[in-house]
Amino acid sequence: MTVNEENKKTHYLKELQLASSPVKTGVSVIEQARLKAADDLSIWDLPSLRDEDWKQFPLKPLVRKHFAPAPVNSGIAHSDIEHALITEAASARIVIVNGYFSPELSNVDKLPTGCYAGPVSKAPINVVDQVNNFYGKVAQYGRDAFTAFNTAVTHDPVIVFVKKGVALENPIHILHVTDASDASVYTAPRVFIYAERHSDSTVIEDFIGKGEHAYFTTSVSESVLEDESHILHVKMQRETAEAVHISRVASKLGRGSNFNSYMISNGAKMFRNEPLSLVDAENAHATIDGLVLVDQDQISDTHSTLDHLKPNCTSHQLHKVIANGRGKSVFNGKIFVRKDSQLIDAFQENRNLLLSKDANVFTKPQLEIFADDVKCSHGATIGQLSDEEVFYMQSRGITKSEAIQLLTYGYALEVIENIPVPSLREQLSYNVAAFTGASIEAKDIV
Amino acid sequence: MLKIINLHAKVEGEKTEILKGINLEINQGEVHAIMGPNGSGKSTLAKVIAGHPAYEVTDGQILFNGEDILEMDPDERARMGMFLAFQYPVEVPGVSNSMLIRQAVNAVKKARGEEELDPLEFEDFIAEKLKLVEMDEKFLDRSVNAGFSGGEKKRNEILQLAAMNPKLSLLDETDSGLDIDALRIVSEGINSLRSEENAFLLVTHYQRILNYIKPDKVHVLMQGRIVRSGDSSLALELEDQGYDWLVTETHVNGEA
Repeated sequence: MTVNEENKKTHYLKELQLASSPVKTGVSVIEQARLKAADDLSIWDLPSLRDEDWKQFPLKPLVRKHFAPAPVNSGIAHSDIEHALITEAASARIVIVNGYFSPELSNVDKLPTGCYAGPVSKAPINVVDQVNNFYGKVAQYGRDAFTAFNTAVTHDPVIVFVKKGVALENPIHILHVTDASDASVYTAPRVFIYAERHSDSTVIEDFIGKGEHAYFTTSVSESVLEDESHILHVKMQRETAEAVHISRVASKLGRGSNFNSYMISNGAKMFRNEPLSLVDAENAHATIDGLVLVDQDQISDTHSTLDHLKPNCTSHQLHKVIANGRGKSVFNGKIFVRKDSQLIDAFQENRNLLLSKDANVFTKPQLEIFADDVKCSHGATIGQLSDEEVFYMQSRGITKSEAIQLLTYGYALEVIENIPVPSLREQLSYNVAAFTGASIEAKDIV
Repeated sequence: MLKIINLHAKVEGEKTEILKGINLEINQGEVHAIMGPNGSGKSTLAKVIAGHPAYEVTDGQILFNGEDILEMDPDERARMGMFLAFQYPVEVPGVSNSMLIRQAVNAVKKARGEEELDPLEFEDFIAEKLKLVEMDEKFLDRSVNAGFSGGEKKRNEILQLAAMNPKLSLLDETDSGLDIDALRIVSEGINSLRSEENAFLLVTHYQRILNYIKPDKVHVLMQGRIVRSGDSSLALELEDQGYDWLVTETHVNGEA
């Protein structure tokens, strides 16, 4: 690498940030974090391939391109997002276009009293108080330029606030749309979810795009769970084939709380997911399951961290991958069990299904256990479909290629079937079927 | 309907032959039982007929309705009207039972040049078949065999058999692991599907199922060869005396 290139890389995100003009939120913690992150970007470098955590995720396709801040006035209309809408969330939908809140496309009229979903600039004072307490403290990524970049350039973060004791009947759908119809752009969506005691909610963060140009999305999501609250979190990454998507989903769990997260990724040219769960009080449970579908030259990179900071907690991580074409998937699942965190029950499994000779999978479970009375199981498998399964289907008159499609579809469904939103499950089933080429009918959806 | 001539087979990539020259002919309307001790090659025979890729046929012929099927894929054989009920039915998480059975039925219908069933027509169609094996319709919405008990899995095989309406059914130890009620249900299901148009080959270790399904012919398979064929009374003889006397006898005849 020449000195010139090295310099260019160092300042890449800083350059992008300098071109931005983020919306003022009026919330002190956010504005302060912005200034600090902008300073950090002058110093922090992009990770290089020499960095162990990034060596399978070459950033060249990113730094070779220039991305401009996505403009506020975009022609995105209802018809552009219709395919991605979720029936159950019709009255709890927040649409963010190019990083800006879209009042025309959003609809959050029917939330129960005391709950809030919308931009922070319009949030009530008690909600802003919690933002001030926790913003930027859950998504802890150390010296990470991408999180700093998001913090510096994000506009008006979306806040979801679920009041004490409220069980939301319908899921909240946060749809991030990037319009790359006219130019290569970047967006940096940010979401902050606060669940008060005994509340129960489902939040879907969803990423789609429009247009033929390349675009770059850095998203950060933070969830704070008070005691005995439940959040079911779905992250769907279905960006266009030209997108580069880098995302953090962080959560901090209170006593007896439950954070169940399902990440479904099948879009983008290259994408990276970094789930981080801080299980920071007793009797809490975190699930961070994932489903990755990669084909052609797609690259998927998952670096997760489950941090058991307190005793008597459980966690579940099933990360399933289907790799076709020349697709590449990387999994590094870190689980920490701290010295005094006894009686932890942590489950981790990474299963990889290779459908082609040229697909590549790298898997690295990483358990660091400092307590001595814990149960941690982990496993990683890389394989093809079993001959016995294929023969079983064939003996039913189904051709080998149809059998492979059906079995692959079934394999993916193990993650999808946990999502308690029927219309979303249906959409995802069709996505998976389209990926595997399986032909399914509405009646077949589990 | 099925004619097997001097069939030799082994596990792909291995040297030892499992089937060492099988000759067998099954006609329309007949039920044949293949009996034999463990490791005699009974299940292998059923799988080889169905086209299991783990086995390699080294010599001989299998004719199905006069056609040599050895070069055919298992799904082609199935679409021609052959069905294998598995000894260990495979679990397929994520694929619903109704989805598999509908696709199977339609694959066969298409091959026969018949109209395929849409999901609604299929619902009516399968309701009838469910009664036959006394299965609740909720089994249709569950993933194929996933979490089914042993008996439920075997009933599910017969449900698929009933739905696909094959000409030749190969039942690989369908009776093993069944309690008496499940055995009765499975047997009655099979009996009601018997007709002058189709045929069955029952592979079994025990005589028990033959109390319910009366075979036209019984064959004893030992060490890869059919050592004796007879009518249904042969099964009773085996029940009384086991297989040892046949070992002795074949040895005496110098055939072993």
